[in-house]
Amino acid sequence: MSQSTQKQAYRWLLRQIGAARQWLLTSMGLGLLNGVLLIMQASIMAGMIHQLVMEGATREMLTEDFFRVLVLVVARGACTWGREFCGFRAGACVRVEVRKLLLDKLCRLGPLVIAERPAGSWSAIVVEQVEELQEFIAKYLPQMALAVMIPAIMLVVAFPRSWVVGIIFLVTAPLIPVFMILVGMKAAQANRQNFQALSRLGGFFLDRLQGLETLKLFQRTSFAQTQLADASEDFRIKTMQVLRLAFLSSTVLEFFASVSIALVAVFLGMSFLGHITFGGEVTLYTGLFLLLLAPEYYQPLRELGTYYHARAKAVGATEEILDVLSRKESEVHHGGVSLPEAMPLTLEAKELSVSATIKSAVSSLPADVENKHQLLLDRLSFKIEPGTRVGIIGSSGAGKTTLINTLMGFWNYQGEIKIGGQSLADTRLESWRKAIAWLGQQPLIIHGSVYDNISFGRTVSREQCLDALAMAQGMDILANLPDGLDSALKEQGGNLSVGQAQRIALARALVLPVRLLILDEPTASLDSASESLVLDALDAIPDDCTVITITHRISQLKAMDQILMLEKGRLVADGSPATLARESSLFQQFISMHSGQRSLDDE
Amino acid sequence: MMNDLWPFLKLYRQHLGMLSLGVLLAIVTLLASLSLLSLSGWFITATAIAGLTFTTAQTFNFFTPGAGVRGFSIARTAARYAERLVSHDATFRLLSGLRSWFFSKLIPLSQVQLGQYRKGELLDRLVADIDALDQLYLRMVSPLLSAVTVALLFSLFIACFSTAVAMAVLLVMMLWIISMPLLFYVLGRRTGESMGVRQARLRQEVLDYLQGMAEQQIYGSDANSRAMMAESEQKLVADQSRMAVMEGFGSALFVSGSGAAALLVLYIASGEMSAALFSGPVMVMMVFGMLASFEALMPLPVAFQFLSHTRQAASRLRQVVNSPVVVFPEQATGEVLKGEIQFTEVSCSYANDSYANNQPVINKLSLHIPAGSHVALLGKTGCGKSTLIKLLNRGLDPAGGRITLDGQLIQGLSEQALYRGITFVPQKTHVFSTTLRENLLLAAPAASDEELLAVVKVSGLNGLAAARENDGDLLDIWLGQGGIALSGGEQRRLAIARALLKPAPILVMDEPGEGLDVRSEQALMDTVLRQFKDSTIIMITHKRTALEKMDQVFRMENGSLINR
Repeated sequence: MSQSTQKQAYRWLLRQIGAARQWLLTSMGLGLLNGVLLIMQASIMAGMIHQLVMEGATREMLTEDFFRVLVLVVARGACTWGREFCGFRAGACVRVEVRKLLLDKLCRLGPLVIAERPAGSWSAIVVEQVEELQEFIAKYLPQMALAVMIPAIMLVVAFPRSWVVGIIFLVTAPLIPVFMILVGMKAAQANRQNFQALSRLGGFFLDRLQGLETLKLFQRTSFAQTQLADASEDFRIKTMQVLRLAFLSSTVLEFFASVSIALVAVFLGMSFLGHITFGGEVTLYTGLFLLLLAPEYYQPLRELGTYYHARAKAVGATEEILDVLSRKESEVHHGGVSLPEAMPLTLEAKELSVSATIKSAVSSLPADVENKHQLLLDRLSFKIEPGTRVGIIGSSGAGKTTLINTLMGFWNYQGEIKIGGQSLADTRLESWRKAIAWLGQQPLIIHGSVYDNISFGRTVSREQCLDALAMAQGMDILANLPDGLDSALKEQGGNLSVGQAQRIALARALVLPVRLLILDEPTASLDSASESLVLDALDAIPDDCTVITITHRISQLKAMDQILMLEKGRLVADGSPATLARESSLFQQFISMHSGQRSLDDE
Repeated sequence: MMNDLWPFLKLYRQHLGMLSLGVLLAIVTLLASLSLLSLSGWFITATAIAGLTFTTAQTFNFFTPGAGVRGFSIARTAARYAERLVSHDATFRLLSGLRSWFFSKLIPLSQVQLGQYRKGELLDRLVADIDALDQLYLRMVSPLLSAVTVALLFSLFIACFSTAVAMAVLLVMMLWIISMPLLFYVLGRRTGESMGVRQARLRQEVLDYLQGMAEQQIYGSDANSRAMMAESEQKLVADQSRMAVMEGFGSALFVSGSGAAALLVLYIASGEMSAALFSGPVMVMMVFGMLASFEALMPLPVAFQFLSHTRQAASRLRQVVNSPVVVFPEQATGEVLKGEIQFTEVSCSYANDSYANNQPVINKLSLHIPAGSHVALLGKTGCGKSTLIKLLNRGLDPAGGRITLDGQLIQGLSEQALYRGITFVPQKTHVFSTTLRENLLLAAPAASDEELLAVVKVSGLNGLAAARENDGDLLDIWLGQGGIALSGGEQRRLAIARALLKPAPILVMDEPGEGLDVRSEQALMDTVLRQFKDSTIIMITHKRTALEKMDQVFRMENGSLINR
């Protein structure tokens, strides 16, 4: 975290207030009103005591004053309540807004960027980090204004009553901005270090917990426990050293608040006794009034100090949020022409190339390789007729997945892709995607019922769902679930096997008629029994639907009409399996290599 | 309620000194603050009265109260500073104690239990739960104790002057101390619970949305999901809004309460003053003291608003801690020296229901592996091979049948004897975020740098040096989080390097070649086989590499074995 990115994050955060401005102003206004009412309350109470003590009034004579104070006290409560509520609304406004920005951005970044990191780390930013902004907006920002305004009002009130007390207040007043900065920097730094230490310690603990099994296998649990205790102790000592300094700055503030009370009391007492003759005549009323104001003079600033951690947290969260928002979006071609519904779906690629900027992790690559463009696909040309079964093969990293992602419109490309003669670059992506269905290696199961998982937000009847599930050989899944289509499925398919989950995902792909089905190693994570079920289901797909399958399994190749073989982004073989087996040496090599050290899963 | 929190409060005993000191300092701070304001009020009023005539003004002793005012102002500052230091220090100690305690409770849990917690973010949540518990002292215990003490001492002091006022003070403060926690605990509980549920729901929906982005865009259901998330967010905000209203209510009650209480004291005291029961300055002291004493009551509403949250954290942790554990015999003398393994009609199943669907069950499996023989177990993904490993490291106990090592029942071996007898290469390698040296020393705490470097070399981990600009000391490379992330192949190499450092009569490897290319896998296997030449080796794999070097190959299907 450098200072400049922090400043940047802070400024960005202030710009997001927009919609929340009204709430914030109301919150501040109520805080200010509370301050004014407090001054009034102090004045009336001081007056009452003056009358009771100095003028021999009885409490019956002051009934009206008692009521006035009571009303003020209740009004101040209402102000406090309203102030906190308005602050909360302001924070909620900003959070909703920022969350929307993030989701919009992630949607534009698309699935390929999201796949770079575990989905949990993105959702942590969208949900938890955004929550961290709340206190900063709701409490810190209004308090910042109050910490300046309330002392200013009190000065204005105090001066005419006693210039000496006014001076005592005033002399410390210029120090307030200084202290704000001082407390701000020191407290922020201390909080940051405190939080960093705590989170490092938390990370250390988590790491040891995750590796507990390994520790057990090597008989190192007691050692790890000692290590844990040592690390905690070490962190404690280091953090306490920092805190010892950091707490000093707020202690100085505390000191001023205490000393100003003591000074005011001693000065007033000495004037009453006549030991001090400057400063003019003061009455008991004035004395008590000023004494009641003294602690309140520093109170807003002290409160501000307690919210500094909110600021540090919000700035930290903003940095992560900005990190997402400032990501470069790859421009995906998109046009405005819809794809005609009835058009036969011939796919044609000419000189199709895709390049990507490599971001090397940490620095596992030498610096000069970083951020260079690499060709993921290198001038591919091929043609796929409607209804063909196409197999894409090649070793890992050859560009198979990139090719299908490009076809689905997730990558930007050079060259030409034509669908039924119409250029993909001119086509509305929505209309193109309506014709496609896709099934990946890892089945996606969302939180919801079987029906939710198959319909996936589209308007689909229950009959259609059942038909699709039957087509996907998945009716037996329903038999084991308590409520049929309405049974809740757990996240990540917690109550399904991978094979069952994959068949539900297949039903999702087949529930609406499609003309192109794209499969990315659909059986890679399945055992043999589920695999044959899924393969049977795939056999039953209508003949007019084109099916493109990425596969590693040699046994699946024979059933294909056409094989596209990729190597390092280039198309090295294209033809029917029989032709390739005769003519392509690369294909022969591929087959022999993969049968030579087949894995059992291929059988 | 206390049932959940009590075991954790008991952990406080170890740090009783520090914790009491923190509470004591908090009380001193509050009392100094209270005294400063009331003494000042008394002083001003007394001097104002004395100042009316010249003689009383001259004879008034202003030294003692003046010194008192200065003293209290210094005491308040110093005590506050010390209190913050001590209470933070104590919190750190508590946290450290809590973590150690939790860790020690987790160690004897069985692997199946542990596996559940490792899944997903459960573990993160447990860590957060522990953090929530260390707040118990700062947020609740310390404020509550100091509030009660200050209330008692202050009313006792007032009682020296007037019983009626003292009773009023005690009544108001005690009413506050009892009713606020109750009120806010009840108010906070319902909303707090539903807030947690709704936040989890929003998180789940966001997670589903992001994970399914490809499907979302292909099937055109983006708008639908967004609408769903927006609705969940609205519901969450509505809950938080209720919580904020409550918090605001707490602050409002505080502001109004302190003012009203001061007014009440003024009302009663002014009556008694008129009756000449005590003087004017004493009345002022009482009113100012009442105003100041509310500082002690301020933290109570918020503390109890979040109590239900803390309680839930505690009950989740208790659940973990009370899970079934693996019991090793305390006084076992058996050792594994030769490495003969015998499975006799072993059956097992996972008791946990959610696993039952995923994992096959081992069914009456019998297998004899003579000492020193090298055996491969082949099988497809998920056929139960890894369950065999769990049976051998007591991660899971068989439901039927017996497993013996060198003729001794596996349950009869001590933990040390079992792990000394078997070296494991687990399927998943945990890379600790520390140096390569520490990651290796795990397997052989006494190994010298030379030995470690030799193993690094044969296991092919020296390739890691390329990742560093200057080729410094290889062993000091930081791995894991904040360091170099190891690839799947490198993780395998690390696991095998650890195994090479821990010779044992039995070596059990689970998919040792995963993520490695064929040539490196073969080279690495050669090294392992050479090193463990005389040991019994069980290699579980779904690949065919290195099979020809094994003495026997078994295939596993549906939980039983077929000899090949």
